Amino acid sequence: MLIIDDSKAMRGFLTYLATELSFTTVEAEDGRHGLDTLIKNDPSQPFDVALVDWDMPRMTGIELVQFIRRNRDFDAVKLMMVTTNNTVEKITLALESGADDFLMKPVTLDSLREKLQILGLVD
Amino acid sequence: MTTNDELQQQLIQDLLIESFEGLDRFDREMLALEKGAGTTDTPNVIFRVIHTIKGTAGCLGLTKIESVAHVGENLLSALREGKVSVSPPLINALLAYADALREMLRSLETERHEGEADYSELLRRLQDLNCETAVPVPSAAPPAPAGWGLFEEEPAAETPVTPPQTTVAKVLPIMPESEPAARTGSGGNSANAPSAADSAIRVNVDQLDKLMNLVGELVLARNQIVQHCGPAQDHGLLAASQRLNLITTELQEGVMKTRMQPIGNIWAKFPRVVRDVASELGKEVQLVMEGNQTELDRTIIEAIKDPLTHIVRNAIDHGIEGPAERRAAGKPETGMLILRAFHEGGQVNIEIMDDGRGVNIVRVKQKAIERGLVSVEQAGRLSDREALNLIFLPGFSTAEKVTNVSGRGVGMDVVKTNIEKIGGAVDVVSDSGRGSTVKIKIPLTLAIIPALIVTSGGERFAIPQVSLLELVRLEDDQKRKGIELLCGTPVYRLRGRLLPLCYLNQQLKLVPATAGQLAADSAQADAVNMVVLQADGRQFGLVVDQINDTEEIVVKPLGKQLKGISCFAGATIMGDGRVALILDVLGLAQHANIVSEVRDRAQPDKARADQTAGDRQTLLLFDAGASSRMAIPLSMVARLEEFPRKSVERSGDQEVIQYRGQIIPLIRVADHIARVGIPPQDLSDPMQVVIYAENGRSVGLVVGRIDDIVEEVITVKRDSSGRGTLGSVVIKEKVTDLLDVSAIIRAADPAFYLDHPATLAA
Repeated sequence: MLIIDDSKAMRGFLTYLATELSFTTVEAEDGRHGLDTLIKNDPSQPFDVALVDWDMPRMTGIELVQFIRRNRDFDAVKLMMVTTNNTVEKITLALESGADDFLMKPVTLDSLREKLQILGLVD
Repeated sequence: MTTNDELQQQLIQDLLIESFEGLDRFDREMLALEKGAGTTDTPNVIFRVIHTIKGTAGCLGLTKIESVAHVGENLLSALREGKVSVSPPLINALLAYADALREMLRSLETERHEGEADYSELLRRLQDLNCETAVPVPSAAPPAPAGWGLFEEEPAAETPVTPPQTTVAKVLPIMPESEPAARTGSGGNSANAPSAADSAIRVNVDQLDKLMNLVGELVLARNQIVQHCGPAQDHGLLAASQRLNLITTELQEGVMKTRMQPIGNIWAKFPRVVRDVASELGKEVQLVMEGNQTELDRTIIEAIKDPLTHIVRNAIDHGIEGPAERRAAGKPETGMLILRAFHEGGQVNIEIMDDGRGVNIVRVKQKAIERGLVSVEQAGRLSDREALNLIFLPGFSTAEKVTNVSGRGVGMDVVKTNIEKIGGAVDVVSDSGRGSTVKIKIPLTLAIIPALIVTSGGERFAIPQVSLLELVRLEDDQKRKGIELLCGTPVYRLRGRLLPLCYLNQQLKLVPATAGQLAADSAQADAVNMVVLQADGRQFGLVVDQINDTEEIVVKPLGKQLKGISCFAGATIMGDGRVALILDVLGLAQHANIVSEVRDRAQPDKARADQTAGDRQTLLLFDAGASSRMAIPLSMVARLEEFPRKSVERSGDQEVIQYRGQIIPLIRVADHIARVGIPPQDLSDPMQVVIYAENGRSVGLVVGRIDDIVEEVITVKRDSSGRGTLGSVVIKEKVTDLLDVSAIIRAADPAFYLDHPATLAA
């Protein structure tokens, strides 16, 4: 799992949750770093899912999703927006941009597990 | 659903930088693989480079780059898994493939699209290579079970990769493994892969430039504060200003360091350049690089990239011989090309050495004459070193035909101009048959330089420390004895050498005065302060009113009103807030006619012929022993000597004399210019001999009496009145024949020019 968030605390927290769900995680500190990490990743061990924060410096979550979705190679990587933006408008934008799902803040172990179940990544 | 344009542009920029770096690494690793010097990680490194390019291009919608990258990625993936073996066609195809990617990236950089080129044939080649599923051959892997575990099943024996064909250059970069330890890990999903991002970050160059400028300003402000605090009594303020002083210096050094890059960054592409050029020419070249950790300011790195490449190409093309020729010359078939970089005296020295055939000076002169860069007469007068430097003249190329390799429209003149533009100097040393060395000296940085501050005519000037040799102060007696007038030019005898002097007041017309008055003025002054400077290999003394202190100055470019003045290199703001001009030593020397502007020679002969009318020349006047007075240009004279008549000996039918451990032939000028009916006079004792030296050989011209040295504007009447003369001129109201030195030498000693058909042909 790739965790992209500019807050170190948030990354730590999400990593903790993911580990609880027995995911191996890699962290990235903003959109650019996230994109780089994804691109440079060894294709034989692809990421299953990326948790993408909405609001980040250098490249926002939406921009990141747009860039990732332009490369068909990354089609298999599920993208989940992590956001407090719960307006229909914004969620529609995220989904239209290519995100697979979204996760509302505050994130809990249960909410994360639930969303990952929907994506078929957790039993 | 549009993606942010600005972000897209920025990503493309990053893609370009990263990809060019990556492709250089790609080349390097490919060559290692070709040599059988690869490690277990080599195929991975290569793969990752392409993988990253493909991934980024895909995200940016660069479909062409992506699809081309994709085909190569497949092949590299097969290579990585050992499904495809390393072979010369594979290496060649992959190198061509890297070039194709570069081409598209470059097109993206300059034209903002991926270019129109069609790579389908290359791609087919790559696909074909991928299809022939060869028996897996272990890549030259030293037994190293660690890593990706891809080679586990393979025997650990060192099986060398198929050696390259014989014509392929052997390229052996002797570089300490400088690749930072980053990215040794797989960069994959391992939980906490320490990435390079933790210890290094990418910073926009503009940001650094801005910082550098700010530090420059800070240095100025610091200087001002320190100056104001000098007389202050407040201890607190003094302590604070001292601290500010120290911190500023450290900050300045720190910021400068961030802009430093190891020269290895630009050298990285040379193994590939050498390989390509050498194999194209069917030569074998071994490249050795020393000191690739030597650091330079990035602006300078950028500026020397192309000149260096050109010199390297030249060295292989013109310098290093083909294997057959080398064998015939008793040299190993593989030529050596050595790149060295090292710091010395606040400057960076770069040397490009080859063990090839060296520069053929005769041919250089011949070419220069053919191309009208110098006149026959000038060529004859040039020393070997000067002749070598002819290759830096615009429009010069020794290549018999313009080859694909080095004949690309840029010549060594561009190299020289580019290096001089950044305050550097370039020089060639050549040892015929044994190779040549191009030496480049460049400053570490351009922004802040140490300089000596001097005062003249009430104004302050800064002289860059690099051109400063020493300071001389002459008082009373010394001054009266030391400074002499030679042909109207003041000179000073510094440790037995004549140092031409130049008065700053006079050059810059700070004080309206004639040379005579100046001499008188300085005679009245208490002492003469002289700054000994070096420009273009020539030394001269600059006389100033006062020598102040050395200071770190921040170089500011001159406004366009002053830009055209060659005497100034820039300006700086002094501690008291006033502006001081930075002297351009070379420009000043040229302005004072101490160093001739070499570029003058670049003018075609016709233009020069028109000019000769107005040329001032320093001539040695002598009585040849026959009737008329003769003259030769002083520049052709090595020394004037007297020999007792009894010291003349004979060797064969030639009169010779022992001179400084050499046997030099004597030529009696009178014998060669004797006119009908006038018998040569008996010669005086001791004999007056003009020593004339060329190409390391000397002859003595026996003359009757040395008359005078004059500086004259001469107009040569071409109708030569007798043999051995070039023509006649009127000097000091007397008809004077200009001696044709080379004709006389040729007549007396044909062997003298034997090694130099060029001059004979003239």
